[in-house]
Amino acid sequence: MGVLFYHCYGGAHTSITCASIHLNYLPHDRIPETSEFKAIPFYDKMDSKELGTPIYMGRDDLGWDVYVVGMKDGKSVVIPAIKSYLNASGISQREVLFVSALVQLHPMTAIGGVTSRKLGIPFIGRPMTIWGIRRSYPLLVDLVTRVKQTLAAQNDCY
Amino acid sequence: MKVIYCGYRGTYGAYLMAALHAGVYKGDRLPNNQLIKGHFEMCRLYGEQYGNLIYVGVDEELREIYALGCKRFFSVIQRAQTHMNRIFKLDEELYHIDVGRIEGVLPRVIGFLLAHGVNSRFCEKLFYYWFGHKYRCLAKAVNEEKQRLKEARQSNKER
Repeated sequence: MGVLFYHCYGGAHTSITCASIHLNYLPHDRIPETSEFKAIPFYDKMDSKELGTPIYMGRDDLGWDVYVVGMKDGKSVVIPAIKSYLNASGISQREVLFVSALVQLHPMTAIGGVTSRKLGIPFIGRPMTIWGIRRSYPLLVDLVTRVKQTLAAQNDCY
Repeated sequence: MKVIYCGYRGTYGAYLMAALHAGVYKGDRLPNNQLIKGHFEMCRLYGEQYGNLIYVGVDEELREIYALGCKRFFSVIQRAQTHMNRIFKLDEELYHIDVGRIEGVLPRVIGFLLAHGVNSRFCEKLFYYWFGHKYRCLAKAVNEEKQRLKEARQSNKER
């Protein structure tokens, strides 16, 4: 159908979580256990030197390919740059959707993310990110549900 | 192939180098005042448009030449655009050139002043100074990039 990008600052935690909810790797009806987060592919793995590289997470039930990408705080520049390039290459804008996974996150997620990815101390940072994301998990589920509804409505239009 | 000159703002050094590459400006002499004034007007009007590819033209080997303003996200944009080729199966080579260091700090200052409504005559003077001062240096850098592209093409052919 098209390509869906969940994006956030580092492409390592919230966007990965959103993509995992979208692809049913994580449950919609309850808050997952810590071990379930650790089992997600690419969770807390994105190297800051690789920011901007989209990571393929899977194909959803509507046929959309789901990717995750980290854009630092430059989404207002990076997204137009991608769209502008695709436009110059003759790709329709209808085939691409960008969703910001930066909902109202618990500050602990950000602190954990910096500790793990930037300071390189994952054994301290990773549990902090999981603790923070578990607090905001219902918001992420809500975001993904709305995205899925939009995609379903878009599919009906065609 | 698409060659993309990337600067903090797309209309200063990035556009100037792209224009030199595409042959809009000649490397051996400064463009006339009307062209420089037109370039400044473009900077005044569109300098704050980040992320939009500006098509400048094609070079003698039919590569498409673009300018792009990418603030301080050059490497993020470079990786993102390059990977789009893989995702959308585009058979297109991309070559990004970071002009941030070559163009110097003055475009950042002029852009900042223009964005904050400082007297545009003063900014124009600064722009003229920067243009005249950097022109040869940027023309030389463009020639080096062209040479690099030529060598890359030859080595690809040999393979």
